[in-house]
Amino acid sequence: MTNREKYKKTFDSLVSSEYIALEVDEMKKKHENKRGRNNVAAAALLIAVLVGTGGMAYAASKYYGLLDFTKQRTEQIPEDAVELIDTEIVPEKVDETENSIMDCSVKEALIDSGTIRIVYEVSALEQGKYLFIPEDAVPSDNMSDWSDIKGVTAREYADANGLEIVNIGGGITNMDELGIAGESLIFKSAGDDVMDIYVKAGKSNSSKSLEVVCTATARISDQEDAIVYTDGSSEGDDSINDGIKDSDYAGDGDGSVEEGEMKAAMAEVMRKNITFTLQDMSSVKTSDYSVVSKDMEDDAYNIEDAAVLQTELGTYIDVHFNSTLENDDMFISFHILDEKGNDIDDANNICGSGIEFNDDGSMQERIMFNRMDMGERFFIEVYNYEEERVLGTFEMERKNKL
Amino acid sequence: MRKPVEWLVNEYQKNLFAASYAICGNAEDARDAVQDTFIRYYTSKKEFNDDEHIRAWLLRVAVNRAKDMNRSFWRRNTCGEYSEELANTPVFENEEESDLFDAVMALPEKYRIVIHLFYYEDMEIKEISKVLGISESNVKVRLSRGRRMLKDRLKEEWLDD
Repeated sequence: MTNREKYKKTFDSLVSSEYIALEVDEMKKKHENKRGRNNVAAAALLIAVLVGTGGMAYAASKYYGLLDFTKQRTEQIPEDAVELIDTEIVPEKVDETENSIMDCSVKEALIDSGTIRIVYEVSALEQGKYLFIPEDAVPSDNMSDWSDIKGVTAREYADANGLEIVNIGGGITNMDELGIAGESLIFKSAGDDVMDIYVKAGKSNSSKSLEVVCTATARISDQEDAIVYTDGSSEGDDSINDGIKDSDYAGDGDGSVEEGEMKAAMAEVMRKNITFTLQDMSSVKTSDYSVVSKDMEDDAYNIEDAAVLQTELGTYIDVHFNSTLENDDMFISFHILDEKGNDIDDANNICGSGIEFNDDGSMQERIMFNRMDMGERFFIEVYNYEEERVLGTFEMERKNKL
Repeated sequence: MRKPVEWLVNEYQKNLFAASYAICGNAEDARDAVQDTFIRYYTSKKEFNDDEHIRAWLLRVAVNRAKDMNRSFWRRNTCGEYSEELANTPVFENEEESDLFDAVMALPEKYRIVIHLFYYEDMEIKEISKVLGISESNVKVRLSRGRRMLKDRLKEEWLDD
């Protein structure tokens, strides 16, 4: 018998022995005559229905979790990594600007040696007043860019519903401590004034216990940002530009605008910082790879070795190399090819960390993938992205088994 | 669309009772939760897309009502989350069913609800997330942890899923 069959049999037995069938007429009579244990509750419910007050709003609430966001991208969260998702994050410290209009909570987090993923939710303290849009959106953008509402811009939607537009943003604040070079954010509206934000970043800090500071920002933006160009033309609401040309708005203070310079009228930014600790519960297996052959046009770049770290969540390849060139002249990136020489970057690659410089003059770059087995051999292709050409390849072979 | 409450009672009352019992842990509160659920449907003007929509709505209301009962002042001050004394332990055909029931009722409420909707109501992760108003990842985490706890308690009696 399967678990499901056992479970059903058990609860079927329970229902058979314990349940007394509901008599519908009696139920209706109880409700209408306001008798029985539930008459107070039933009466209150009826009143709530008649006057249209709360208690009957059973519309399914939307909530976008980590797996909802990753499904929309090429990211894969393997089944055994799902259990690593932390859904009970307790804030240890919270600080915010005065008179903030928002609340923020960290909903889910997932970390391993090489990456950190967080979902946090920003909601309005006073409901029914604001329309939250992403931090880089403008009122003329379509609502469908971040919500399920189609065929209308944020401005049109806000005007139709009497809402004030607010740009919501944020991300991880203590990036240096975590060894984060850059992060990506995705916004998804869970309601007019509720925004779920997914933050993903590669990190080099592989401590098992990490303190993370997450920031949410809110900026009231009830008009188009004003952009003034050097020719005096502008985009957006012209009324906001009145007086700007004669003000100290421009760089040199004489009312003119520096060539190429753009500025926008921005309201005060409200912030909320949440500090919390994440425990890395992932396990790491490391394989070392050495160079068995190379095919390079010159000796400008030399790969020394590579280390492959594999967790439940991802595969991270640390390429250790050196170069005869000055740091400023290095415009290279590494592409990983499988043992047959086929490019595997596009299918699974999450992101690269960028070049890190060590004290002894050597360098390394981390290339991150969804979890995958690198096998006994693979190739590292050295690519010059300024000249847009391949400089050569290194063939790597595993020194020890996983 | 709407269906007559009599039809819904006939169709779903046992399912709602099972779900409510899995939360409350006693027949009396579970029956009250079921009755409250149908009263809410009866007095509601809500329109539904199809039968599945109604079923999900009923389950959601029943689950919420049962959770409310668990949190009531009286319950908090007279017993823990699940009290065998209050429950008047039901009678099962065999020891295996009794062990499984005890193991399920020993789970924390939030894992118990997900386990029940998955195994008894045959709901998929997506459906469970909508009924409970939580993310799919949260459902998966609770399901995974609930299963692990059942395995720890029941050992070979609970197969690896």
